[in-house]
Amino acid sequence: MVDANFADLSFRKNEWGQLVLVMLDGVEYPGIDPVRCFPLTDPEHVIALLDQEGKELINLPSLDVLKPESREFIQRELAERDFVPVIRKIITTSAPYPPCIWNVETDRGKTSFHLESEDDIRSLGKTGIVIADSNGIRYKVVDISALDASSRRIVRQLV
Amino acid sequence: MNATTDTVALHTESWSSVETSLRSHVEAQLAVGESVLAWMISDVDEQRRYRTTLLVLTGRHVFSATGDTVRHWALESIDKLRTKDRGGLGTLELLGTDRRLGFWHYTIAQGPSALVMGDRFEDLKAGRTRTTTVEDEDIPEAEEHETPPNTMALFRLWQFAQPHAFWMFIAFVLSFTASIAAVETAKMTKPLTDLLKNYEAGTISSLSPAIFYLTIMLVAAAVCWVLSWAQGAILAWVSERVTADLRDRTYAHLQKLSLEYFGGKRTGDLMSRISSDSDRLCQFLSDSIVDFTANSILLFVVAWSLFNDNVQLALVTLLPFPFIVWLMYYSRDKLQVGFQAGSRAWGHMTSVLADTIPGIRVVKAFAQEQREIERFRTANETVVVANNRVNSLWTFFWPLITFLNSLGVFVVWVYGIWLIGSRTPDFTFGSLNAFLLLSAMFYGKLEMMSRMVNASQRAAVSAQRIFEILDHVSNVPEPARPVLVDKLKGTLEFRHVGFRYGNRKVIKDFSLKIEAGEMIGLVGHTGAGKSTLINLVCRFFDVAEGAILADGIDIRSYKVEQYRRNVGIVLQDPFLFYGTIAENISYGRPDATREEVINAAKAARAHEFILQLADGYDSLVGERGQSLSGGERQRISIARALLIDPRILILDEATSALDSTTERQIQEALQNLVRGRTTIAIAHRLSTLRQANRIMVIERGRLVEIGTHDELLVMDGAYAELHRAQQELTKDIGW
Repeated sequence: MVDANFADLSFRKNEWGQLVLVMLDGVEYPGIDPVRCFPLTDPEHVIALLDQEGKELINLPSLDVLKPESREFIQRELAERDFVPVIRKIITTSAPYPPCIWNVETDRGKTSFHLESEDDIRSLGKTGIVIADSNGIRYKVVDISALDASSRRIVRQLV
Repeated sequence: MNATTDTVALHTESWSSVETSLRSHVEAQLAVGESVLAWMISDVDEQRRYRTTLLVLTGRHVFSATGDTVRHWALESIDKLRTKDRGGLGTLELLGTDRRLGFWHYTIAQGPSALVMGDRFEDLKAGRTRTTTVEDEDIPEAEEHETPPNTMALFRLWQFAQPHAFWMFIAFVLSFTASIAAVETAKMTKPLTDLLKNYEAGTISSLSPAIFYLTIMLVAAAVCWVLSWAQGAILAWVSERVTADLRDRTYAHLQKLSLEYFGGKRTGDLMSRISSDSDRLCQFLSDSIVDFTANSILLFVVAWSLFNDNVQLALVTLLPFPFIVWLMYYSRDKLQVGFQAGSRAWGHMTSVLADTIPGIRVVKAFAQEQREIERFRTANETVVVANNRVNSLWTFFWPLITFLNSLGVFVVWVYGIWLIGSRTPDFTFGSLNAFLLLSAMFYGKLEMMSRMVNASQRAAVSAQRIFEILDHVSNVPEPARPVLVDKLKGTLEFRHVGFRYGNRKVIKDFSLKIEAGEMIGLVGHTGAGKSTLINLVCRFFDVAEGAILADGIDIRSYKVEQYRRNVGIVLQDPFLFYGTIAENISYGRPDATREEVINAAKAARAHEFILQLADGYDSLVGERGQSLSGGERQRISIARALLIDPRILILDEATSALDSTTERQIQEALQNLVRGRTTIAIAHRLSTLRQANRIMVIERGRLVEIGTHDELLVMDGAYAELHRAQQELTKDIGW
């Protein structure tokens, strides 16, 4: 843990593509990894900044404690690190029930994945679900009722 | 030279499997004599959208091709190819001498080829030429599994019914004959009614022909009764058999699935699938399918005889029939979704039970009984809500179908009255009467069948839930061409082993050779990957990368069962099954003699305390062996491991749950166990590893130090630090 006033923290990106934390006194920590502590239930609060070894340097209660430039920087970095495609439409499924292969359209383009079991689907809040595929990649449906009728039907059969 | 040519050839072959549109752009830029050494697909672009980029490593360059844009970097300008992964997404970084040259993302499926590419790059840099192909290509071929047929779950039950096809055929014949007999009974109405009418009108003087008709009626009814009984008995027996087979098969399959499967499953849900879902299926098969087949045959017979009598009237009679069928079909879908929700809710409720009953001590210790009651009530409420939804659907459809059925009979009345009113020739009062009876029979049966829509949908859902288990292929597959082995010698070798749990990489590029009979201590922080390493040795999971070799052969080449016979394991919290102590000791070798059991118990220092128990070796121990102390249970599990005489022994913190006096006793027991076996012992307390030949320290899935106790202390690294910390702790609290 590093003691610092949150508002004094600034960030930059180095030539290695790493995120560098710059302290008020000029000390730099390269290779910072910002991690959401509650990525599903409360993504906007409690964000940890880890160093290259995975040790926590700073724990931010929320991004609002940072100065605006830093906040934007971290927000952009977090967005870049997140890889949870949001399913917009289920195009086809190889079988109505798992184990099966889903062809989906996501906010990141079309893809397909292997769904092993009903248990790999967990609910997210009241309206959404998170699906983990056989490789551990997670997909999100924010609001089931906002899906088109056929996709909704497929999901409702499983949740 | 020869080997090099082979390697290139092998790669050109796999290279040709790359889509031509991607490949051609890179190929166009290759210089003469520049050949492809490795390639991979990056399927996620820099903005983390799905887009395909082809990455190619040649002897001189690294190429990237996205669509028709090709970029390239000379090998000299590249310092390193680095792979990392997070959240299921891997990243390959191309690092130059003073900056990062580029990076590409890929999903885990592409992971192996990314690693191969990294390895090839290292080789190139080090000036090595590959003489052998990568280990990944030597993975023993796994047994093939048929992909599950994509048909309705209920039809798939046929594979279980097939062995009983003969009896089922007999049942169908009986059912068919019974139906004809039933129709014959009804048909007697026509001559009887006409006879009575004529007698009443005075056209005939004797009623004696009635005796003939009545006899036929009675005989037909009796035949119908006997046949239905025989048919019912046969089908009930068959269905009981079929579901029992299904249950057995499912359970056997479940036992063969890897630990990974159980890790992601809720016990209660699995239990409910095997017990209540199969029971529901059995009920359907015995009650409903008997009726269903009988009734559908009867429907045909009745319809056929209706048409035989009077085509016009038959058509009118069957007027509401299509609507009813459509309605049944329509409600079927709605019901299925409802039943699914119901079954799932039921599984969830059982899960709550399976979760809290074994955890009852924690519940009580934290005084959370009320919360658990609430949790169960919520789960129970979900069951009620789900079932209510189905019920309300059903209560809507069911009377509607009943109404349409009565409408069918009503139509016959109307049309019949009209026919008689218009004095149609050949249409007597008797014909109408017989028609009415037949159509009432027809719609009565249809009504019964529509009630079965409910049962069949419920059964379909249950069947599907069971087949979901059966369709799951084990992650620890049996080899296609197994290497047979009885007793291993016990050398173990880890070759660049990598393992991922979910999307966390827990073991990274782990390599180590262990001689037969050597004892290796395994030290590291919690979560460093110690237990994972051991799970891999036991083949509870299979490695994701690299290989583990026992006696120089990939452990995936052995039959799982044969291999595990050679591996003994003593866990931190040993599990004792419900049964006697002797049964628990001989669990791994049920054929062991009493003498062997006692010898094992003696060697495990368990003999004396067992004799103190009221029933000696016949004492019952509970589900979790609650009547025994931790040390006692541990000694029983050591005896259990001793009895199978394993070549490879695993001690997973076998003594860490015990006080120091007990630990000393267990240590003595362990000394007997370890002698002459390849042993891997995990321990928190370094003092327990005194006898180890070598001690290895792992940190975050990597091997950081290895050597004897003294060597490691001299090295003054992670182990020395751990050692110091523990000695201070011993001083402070006097362990």
